[in-house]
Amino acid sequence: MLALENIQCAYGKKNVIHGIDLHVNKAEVVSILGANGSGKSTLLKAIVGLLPYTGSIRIQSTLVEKLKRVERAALIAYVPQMSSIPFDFSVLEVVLMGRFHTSSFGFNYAKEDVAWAHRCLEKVGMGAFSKQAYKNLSGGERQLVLIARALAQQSSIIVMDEPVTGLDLGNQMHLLDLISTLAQEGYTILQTTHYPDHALRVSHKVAWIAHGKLLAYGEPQEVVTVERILEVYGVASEMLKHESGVHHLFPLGFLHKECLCGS
Amino acid sequence: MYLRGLWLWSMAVLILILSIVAAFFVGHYPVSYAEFKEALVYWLGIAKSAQGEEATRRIIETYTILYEIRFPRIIAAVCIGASLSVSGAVFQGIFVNPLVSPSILGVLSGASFGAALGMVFHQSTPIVQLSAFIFAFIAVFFALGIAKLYGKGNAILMLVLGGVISSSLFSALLSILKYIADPYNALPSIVYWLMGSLSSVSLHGVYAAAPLMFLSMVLLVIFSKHLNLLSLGEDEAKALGVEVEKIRLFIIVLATLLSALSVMLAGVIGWIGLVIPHIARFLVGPNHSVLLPFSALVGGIFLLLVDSLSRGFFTMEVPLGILTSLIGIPMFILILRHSAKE
Repeated sequence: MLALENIQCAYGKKNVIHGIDLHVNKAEVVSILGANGSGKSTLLKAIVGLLPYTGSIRIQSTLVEKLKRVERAALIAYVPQMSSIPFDFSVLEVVLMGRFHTSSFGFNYAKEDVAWAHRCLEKVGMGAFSKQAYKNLSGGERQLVLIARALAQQSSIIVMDEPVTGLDLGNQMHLLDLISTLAQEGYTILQTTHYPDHALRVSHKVAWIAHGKLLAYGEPQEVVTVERILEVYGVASEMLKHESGVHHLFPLGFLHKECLCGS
Repeated sequence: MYLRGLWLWSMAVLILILSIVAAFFVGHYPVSYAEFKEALVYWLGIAKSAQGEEATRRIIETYTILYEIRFPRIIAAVCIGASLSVSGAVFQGIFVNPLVSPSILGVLSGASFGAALGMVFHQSTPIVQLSAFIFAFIAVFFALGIAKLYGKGNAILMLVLGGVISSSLFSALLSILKYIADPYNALPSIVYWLMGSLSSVSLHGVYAAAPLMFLSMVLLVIFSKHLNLLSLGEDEAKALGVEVEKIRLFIIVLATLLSALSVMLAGVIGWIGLVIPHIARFLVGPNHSVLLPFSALVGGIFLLLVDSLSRGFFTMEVPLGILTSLIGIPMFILILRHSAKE
């Protein structure tokens, strides 16, 4: 579905991503884990085309570098970490913007586009909010609206940058459920996260990124391990298993890596 | 959520038409309704042969005042008010900041310098206007050039900085011109020009500028979906399918054209480009396909009313820029108070 080959990314002269290869299958949720500054968000931005990169990105057999932005937007949707819009757009107007790639000009969006935008809002449980100002929503509601906008794009791949960051527990769980549901419906989802537990819970695959390189990529239980947590975050932990079968990481405490080297 | 109904638009259009008609009667030379009707009939060419030479002479005199003095001024006020408002709304959108005004990229400083340059060399009005227009664009392209040269990261921030640099540069150059200008002749005209006025507007100037203004506004409305996306910020606009760099440049050129033509005709008229889009956004919301035409209407009405005020209610004509500021500032304070309450 989505194939990255030897992706390299630089901010100015500083290389941030040093050659990452990644293959994502259709209807899979792939979570990208890594410490702050490891290059997770940079990689996502490169995939969506917000940053220049070298290497190649293919969606099915299409090389996305060759596409115009409207064509890329039809294949891949992006849910940013936070969207602070200074103007009073209504929720419906924000979701309709996802239809831009089908009708860029003209005074208004077509009736079908409006109907589709309403359906996307219903799907994320925000149907009742369509007339409210996006600006006045809570963080969780905003995130859901942005996901509705991504759904409105009707692209099969959705890329989310830390979708649960800053949300309360209820909203976090709501969002994770939504991600699982979308994958079951055939959407391919790529998300970055700071929560190994969330990665264990919703992902089909997990990618670890450290210092701009792919550290490990595979099934969640295989790559989210106590050793890896210690290596990446310097945190000792235990892996617990809930009776439902879900694995759950229990952090024990912070250890200085220097201390570990000595012992 | 907003007053989008037909009645709001009808009201605005009605107010515009009434203001236009009323403005024909404002001025030092009193025109009665009967004379206005006679002149209108004469203009339409459906006049019966007038009774006597004296009457014909009077009609022609009224006609000249109405058509050659007041008409261009009224059209100019409406077009300039509309252009500055649309330009302001557009710049606020692409800079993702409701506090931006059309002068952000240096268009006013550039035009001021250009006009002053013409005046220092005692050029005729058309040359002064042309020079203002050209330097308005030079200043904006200078700002864009700086932003392009160094703006690898945050493009909007670099554009703002480019605008600050360009504005300051042309303000400094303007100061030099003021310093060396002939203090009895050129300097007063420069100072007067900087206060903004419609008193020197000619029919030719309006005929040259108005179609270009109208065309730019229509094009900007056609690109209103792009503008909506650009007002979310660069990354989101790109991800949703906007070729940000190209479209932004195109839109900046159109918005600059609007403000450059306005400044060329009327000098520096402040606050309209900042305040009117706020009022319009407050009434019809931020969707540019509605916001831009409505800003144009409100801006046109506003400047026409202010200009009529300056012509009719003071014994000496008060420069427009002074009045728009004096009226715009309290309006802006009211808007701020309202948005703070929200």
